[in-house]
Amino acid sequence: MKPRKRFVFRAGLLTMILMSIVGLNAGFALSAEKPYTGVTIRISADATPPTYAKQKLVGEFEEKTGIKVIFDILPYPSMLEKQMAELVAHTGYYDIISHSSHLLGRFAAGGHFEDIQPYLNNPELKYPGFDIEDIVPNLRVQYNEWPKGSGHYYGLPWLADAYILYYRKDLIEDPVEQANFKAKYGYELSAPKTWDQMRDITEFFTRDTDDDGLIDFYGYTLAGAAGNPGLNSFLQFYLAFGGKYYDEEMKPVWNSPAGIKALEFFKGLMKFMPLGVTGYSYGEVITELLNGDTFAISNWSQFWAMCDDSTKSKVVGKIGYIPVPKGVAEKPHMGGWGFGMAKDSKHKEAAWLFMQWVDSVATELKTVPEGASPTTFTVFMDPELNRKFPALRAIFDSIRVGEAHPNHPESEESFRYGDTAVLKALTGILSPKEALDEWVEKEYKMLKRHGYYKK
Amino acid sequence: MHNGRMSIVKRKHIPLLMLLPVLVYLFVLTIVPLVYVWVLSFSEYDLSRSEEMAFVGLRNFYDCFQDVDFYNSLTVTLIYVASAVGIESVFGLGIALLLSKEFWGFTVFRSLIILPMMCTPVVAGIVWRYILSPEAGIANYFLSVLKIPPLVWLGDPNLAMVSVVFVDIWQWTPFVVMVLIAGILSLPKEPYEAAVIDGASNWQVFYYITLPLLKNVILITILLRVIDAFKIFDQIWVLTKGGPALRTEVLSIFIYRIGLRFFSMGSAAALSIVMLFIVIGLSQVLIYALRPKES
Repeated sequence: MKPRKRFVFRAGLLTMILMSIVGLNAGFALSAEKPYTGVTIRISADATPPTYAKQKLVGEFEEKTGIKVIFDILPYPSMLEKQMAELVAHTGYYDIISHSSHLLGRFAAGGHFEDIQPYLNNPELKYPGFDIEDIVPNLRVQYNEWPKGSGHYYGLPWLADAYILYYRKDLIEDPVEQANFKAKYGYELSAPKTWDQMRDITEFFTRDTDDDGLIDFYGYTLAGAAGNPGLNSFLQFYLAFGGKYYDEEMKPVWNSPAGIKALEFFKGLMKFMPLGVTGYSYGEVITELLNGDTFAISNWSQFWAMCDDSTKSKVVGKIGYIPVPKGVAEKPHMGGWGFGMAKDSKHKEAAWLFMQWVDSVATELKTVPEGASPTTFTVFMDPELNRKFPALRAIFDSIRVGEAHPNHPESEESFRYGDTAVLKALTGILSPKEALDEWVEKEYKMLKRHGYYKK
Repeated sequence: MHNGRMSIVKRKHIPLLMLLPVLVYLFVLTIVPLVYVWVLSFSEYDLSRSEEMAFVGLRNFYDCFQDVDFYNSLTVTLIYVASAVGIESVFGLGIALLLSKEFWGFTVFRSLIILPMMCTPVVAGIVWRYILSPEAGIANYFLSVLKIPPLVWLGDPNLAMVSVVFVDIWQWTPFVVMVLIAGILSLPKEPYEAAVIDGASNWQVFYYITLPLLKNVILITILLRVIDAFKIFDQIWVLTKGGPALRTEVLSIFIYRIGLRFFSMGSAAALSIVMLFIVIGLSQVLIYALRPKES
């Protein structure tokens, strides 16, 4: 080796060693150099309060990194169409895609997302304050791992969400209600832990409050409208009653005894719900609670911030939050959102830094008060936040052990059959068993058509 | 000589040149997509995967005719179109006859009646969703005043179709009214004068004079409404999303789901072509009825 070449080789080696030492210790250096200055990344997200909460803070990230962040915010259906169009055309327009957990398979199997492991392994790209170990592991499994159990993660979770039970704490704590309940059912009135208890409590609170002969206060309200609310409401029972989505060969098993029992139970509770929940979406359900017209609801946890907002709620300070009741299993139904890194992104490192910034404790501490549920243990356990926002504990207890929707690439098609079956049973077009049999038959045919059972 | 020939050539091409922008426009925005839809309909193409289109022959059409949900949507659409357009035509004609008379304030009424039509279908859908809300809606309030138990307008499988048809009637009867008023006002006066001299009753005048003279205008109105109602999407999407249990899932919602939710573009294209042929078929029946009898 000539002296000059030797010098270059040694200098290179030294630089690499130095860089790795610096990297290991400090991660991505928020130095005055700002190596990504001038880089612009674009994020596709839907028009919801948590998105706006993150967007509001983005100046901090821009200032620290020099990376310019553009949020492309659209209503959910248009967002999905735009995302798909850009990804399929390989335009590289989006760097980060916000996706509902159930669509992970479609994006990942379609080859549109990047496995984040190499970025996670690169100490130089670690954003200060981000700790992957601090993120609740089940969120990563439910929102980012494809296929489940493979160890391949296509992004980070950014918004934890699950079906939780919102109930009238003031009524549960009312001594008169407590005495009346005990006299009728023979046990103490408390926030429901099991579905059997929940049935009694919903029956107990369904009443005519102004003596005009018409029920005007309901024990329970659930979304039952077409277009997935009905299906989601069913899944909270299905998982609690021990239901599984598919067998080992990926054949749907919704018509298992657990499924039939769950749907029958759901239907049985309808008499304690407002008329027309088969037309209710999540917004109508939360409105029912905020107007003080129902004792309890199960709904996505993302609505918690509205309950204590006096401009929207007549029941400020009266709402309690717990995970949905247990059946034979403790498995709350989850949804939630992940950030996927677009494969065609031209600024993946910048995108990765942004994703870490979103999930870092400092950012989450600021966005929780705006209604954006966190992803990290530290923020979920923060005593100050828990004191102010009691819903956090219920969300944490739910997402720690819960299960999200099926997330295979054909999940939307499966949901359509599920949604139709649930509605057919609830409206009495078919019996629960017939409806579930029809669902299984149609979904099996669909999955077969997509090549699922080829040996 | 040379110049003269040039000018002839030029003169020949002027119409073509003037038509060119429209032809290019039509070609790019109508012909090309139409051809592409045909190509797609014979292919398997999942929009969410970056794969090449695969030629599958008539399989998409075969699958479409095997799908019970397709027949459900077709039935739902036909019921929707027939009931909405049927009722709109009858109501529209009645109101048009009333408003074609000149009475005190008739211009105000004519202006007021077109208001629903000016409303964007999505907005109309949202407003009616509130009106028909079982708990908080004003529709059930009026029922309660009349001591009628509340109804689940959009969530009851037997009522949902009635509700969406009702909203369509509310929104589009004004269109029928406006066109028919124009038609009635342009009718010749002489047959009416003759009928009055002959002592015809009002009913006879309507049945033997107005209706036959107005037939073509009515048929054209129905034709336009049928084509429009067949394509309905936004209003129903806002009101029921095709539910409950697919009871209001019209063809365009069915195709939307397959194309833009399931991303099966081949199947969606095949379905669109089937729908196109159904609309063409229906229109042909109406156009046939419109042809002059003598020929």
